[in-house]
Amino acid sequence: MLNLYPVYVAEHYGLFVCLVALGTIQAAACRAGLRGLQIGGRLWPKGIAFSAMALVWLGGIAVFVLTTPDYLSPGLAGSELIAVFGAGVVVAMALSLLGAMAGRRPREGGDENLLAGGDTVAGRACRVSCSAQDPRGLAILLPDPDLPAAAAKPLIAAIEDCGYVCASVCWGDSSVPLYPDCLALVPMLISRELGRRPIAPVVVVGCGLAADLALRSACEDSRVQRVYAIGPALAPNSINRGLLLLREMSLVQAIAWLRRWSRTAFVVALKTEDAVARLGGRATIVVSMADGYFVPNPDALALAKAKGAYVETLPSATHYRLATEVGAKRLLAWLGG
Amino acid sequence: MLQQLDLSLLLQFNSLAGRWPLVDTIAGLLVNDYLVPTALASLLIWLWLRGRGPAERAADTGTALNAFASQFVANMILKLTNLAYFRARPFDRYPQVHLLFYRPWDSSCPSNPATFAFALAVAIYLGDRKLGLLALALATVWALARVFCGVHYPLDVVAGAALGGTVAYYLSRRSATMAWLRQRLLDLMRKGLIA
Repeated sequence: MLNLYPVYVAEHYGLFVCLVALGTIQAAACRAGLRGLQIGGRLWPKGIAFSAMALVWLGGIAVFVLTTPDYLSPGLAGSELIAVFGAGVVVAMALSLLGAMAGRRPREGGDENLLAGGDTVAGRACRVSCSAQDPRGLAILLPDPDLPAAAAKPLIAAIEDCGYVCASVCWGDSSVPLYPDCLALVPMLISRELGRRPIAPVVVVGCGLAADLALRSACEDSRVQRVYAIGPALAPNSINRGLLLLREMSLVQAIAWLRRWSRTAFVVALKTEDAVARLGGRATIVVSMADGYFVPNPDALALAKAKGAYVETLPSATHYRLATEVGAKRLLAWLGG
Repeated sequence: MLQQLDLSLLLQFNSLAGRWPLVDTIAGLLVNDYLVPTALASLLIWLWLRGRGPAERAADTGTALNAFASQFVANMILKLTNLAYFRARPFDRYPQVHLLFYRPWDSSCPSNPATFAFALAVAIYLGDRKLGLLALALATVWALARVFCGVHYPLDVVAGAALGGTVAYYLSRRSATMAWLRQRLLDLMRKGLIA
């Protein structure tokens, strides 16, 4: 039974713990890149985060000591101290999570314009675009099914800028690729586009779990000259389920992300690692060590390199940046070079 | 012989108490039940959240779990020890001791704060040397402050440090059960989005 006597000491100690825990959580979240824990929803500069922690610590000690003259008298028992400490940490954690959610801007949502002029292939909406008079090749784009449709815009623009015909799939904001139906998508798109105009080379570009699908689809189809996989999972155990998800999203978004669909079952079914081994030098893979969605698996990357794939490891891009602006830059370099 | 040395060290160190108000104030800040334990426990929050990659996170969270389990087990052993052995506090036996703290009623040896602090500090040290040195420094000043303020004999804090440190070393490095439990807890925490 907790007596928490004297009550004012318990209250002051709880406030002190809450303050110092908040400072510690913010500094740790800044170091780990956990935007979902950082008040404001975006990472603070390190100097500010660590200075704030030091200030909060010193201020907390000063306020506690000055307002609690009985801090050297018999007070809270050991179990009561633990309970008050735990409560203070829980409140600080809740404040951090709420503060992060309040500050985050919602991502750009689905974009109906992406589907304008599009039709359907294998049950999925597709859009073909080309800005060049004399196309240099055909690129099949499989955007990240975990991101809004509008996130594919920079990739489409990069492909068009390189003079390629871009045939992009739109998963829709509420649906995901289903195995094995999704395996028909790439071959059908290639057949349809090559039936319209003979064009070479044919490349497949995929993002996120659609990059895994691109790798698997391409290894089954000899018409594909090259596959560009941006931020794939590669192995089932790469799929993040832990606190690192807060690098990319808030807690509520992370829970929804985890519950949306079984990514592990999808990667297991695709056998991406086998696909990469079969593709060999036809595969180009780019991953980021700071990807909060998929934790780059060193064994899978080493296997891909050993089989001749070109593997690029970026140090600090989040999954969203990897799938949008960073991916677009890499595409410009790969396709344009 | 050992007890004489213990008493002699206590009286010499404690004779500095009550002379300079600034030193007494600093000792009061270090000896109380709130500030140093909170600083030590905050190191666990830091360890829990600071990891940048999956490997670092797993190692750090494992260290935090080791530290948490170590202080719990060490505290259990201390409670059992107190049932079998009671040592009166120095201020109860020697009127010349300057007491700068309240009068705890439980057994003086092993020191409860030293057991708690060194269990945490040694477990942290075994996982991260730099952070562990900070934790050991905090544990040491807390233990010394207890002697300075007349609450413990030096041998009490040495016994507490040995108990806490040994339990932390055993659970962190030697216990297969703890290694198994740590892995299960890590998996559970990952699934629950807290590791």
